[in-house]
Amino acid sequence: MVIDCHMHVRAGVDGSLDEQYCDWTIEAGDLLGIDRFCVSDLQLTGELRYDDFHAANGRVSAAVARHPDRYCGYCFVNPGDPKALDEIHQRVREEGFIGIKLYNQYFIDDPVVEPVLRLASEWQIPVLVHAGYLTDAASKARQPRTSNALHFANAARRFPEAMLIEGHIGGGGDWEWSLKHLREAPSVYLDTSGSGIDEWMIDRCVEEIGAERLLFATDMTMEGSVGKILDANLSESDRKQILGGNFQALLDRRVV
Amino acid sequence: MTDYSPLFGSGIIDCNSYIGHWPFRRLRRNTAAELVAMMDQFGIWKSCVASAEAILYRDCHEGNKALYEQTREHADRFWLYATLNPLYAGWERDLVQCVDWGFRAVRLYPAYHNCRLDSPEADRIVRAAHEAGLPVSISCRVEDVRQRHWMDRFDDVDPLDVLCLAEAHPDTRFILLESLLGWPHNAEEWRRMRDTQVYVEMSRMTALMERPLEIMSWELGDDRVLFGTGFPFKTPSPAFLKLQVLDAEEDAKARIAGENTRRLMDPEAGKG
Repeated sequence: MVIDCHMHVRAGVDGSLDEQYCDWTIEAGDLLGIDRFCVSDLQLTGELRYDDFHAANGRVSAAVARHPDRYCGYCFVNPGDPKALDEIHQRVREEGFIGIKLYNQYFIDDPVVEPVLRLASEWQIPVLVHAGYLTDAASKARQPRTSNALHFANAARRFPEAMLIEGHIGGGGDWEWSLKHLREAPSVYLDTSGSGIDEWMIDRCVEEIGAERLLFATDMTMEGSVGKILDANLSESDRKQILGGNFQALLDRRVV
Repeated sequence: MTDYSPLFGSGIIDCNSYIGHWPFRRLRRNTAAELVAMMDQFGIWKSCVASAEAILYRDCHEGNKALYEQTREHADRFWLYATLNPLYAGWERDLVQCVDWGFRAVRLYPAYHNCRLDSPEADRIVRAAHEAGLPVSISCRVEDVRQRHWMDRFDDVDPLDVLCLAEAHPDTRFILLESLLGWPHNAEEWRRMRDTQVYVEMSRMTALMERPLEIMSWELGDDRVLFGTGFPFKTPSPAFLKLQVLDAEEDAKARIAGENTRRLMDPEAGKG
């Protein structure tokens, strides 16, 4: 089974689930051979209060209800919000969301995030985090709290049982820098998504951190994300693991 | 690796490839022989290839010379871009030499060469290319701005600037490489694009979800969209997958896959 471990749904003009976008994703999956999409809905601007991420997670619930065989949900929270843990309890325990999605409100090694990581470790659910080592001033100014591989290494040292996923190695940023630091964080996984489709990127990922820590994902970049896996010089066994086996193994560890 | 010629015909032409070195990242499979091997794997008939190192050479014609020498053994598989700096000494003579050597188009890097596209220098080199019978290609970027080396701090080319240049040179054919996926922005820009001779390479556009590649084919015409991979900066399969899943007729895909580029680059094309 091919599992996209990093994909999104979004809001339509009235704030409810954009169903067309949701269906486009399924069509894309059918064309490219992607069986399941693990999705979150990101409220990227503003202060990101409880009402915002609660509504965003409601759209994820609606997407899962619309395509229950194809979608599963991440619970997106602002870890600095006092109701973040309540939201995770509701979505993961009661609604069956498969993990937690964090964006750039805080670095992943910020003490504010610790209660979320503690819960994720206890429940053995994956934590997918927006990430990158951005090198240009404009991107850094826009996203000053984007976690990079060093933040992940710090968080992983404090929470060795946490299943942290550094998002989109091709999502911009100096991915070679990221790989070198991820060598020192053996419990951190890496997703392969992003618009960056540099030649040899996936091969270098395997060389540096091993195929067992790589998780296939698109983050909305469909053909590019599939194509770079096709082009990588992988054994069929490694390709299968990256395309879904590794992530399924993470999901199988859940104790919630 | 898949041979795509059964899907798109035996005339697939990659209008966006390079050989040579890039100072900020190791490129692999970056020799002419390795490019030919990749082309054979994917069923590419010809690649339109530029010198990667020419971009940052002070005298970029040295890159053109190296490109010419390195591709001679496989000359039937390549059409060459002449990288020229409109602000550097002697580009006029370099252009003549490239024409003599059979180069098929001019390549400009306005940001890397610090030459605005609305400058008199840009105007002169476009006129010279047109008089030589060559299209002018402009790449919006070489690498993603978010991952660049600290010494590589040049802005991406704004496709609107290329559009304005093309409007000032209505008889000249332009190839816009690595164009943004959300551009043109509105009906007026589409109309202006249609009135020029700008051809757009598709490697940064998706054919899925909001379908910018399909929209480009409708709005501009599938005779103005060109297949390109960006190899060896980028990996080739994504471009093929885009063409494969594009919601278009077979003959439209064949035009995008190679016929359009052949019409642009091959003076013999269409002569029967």
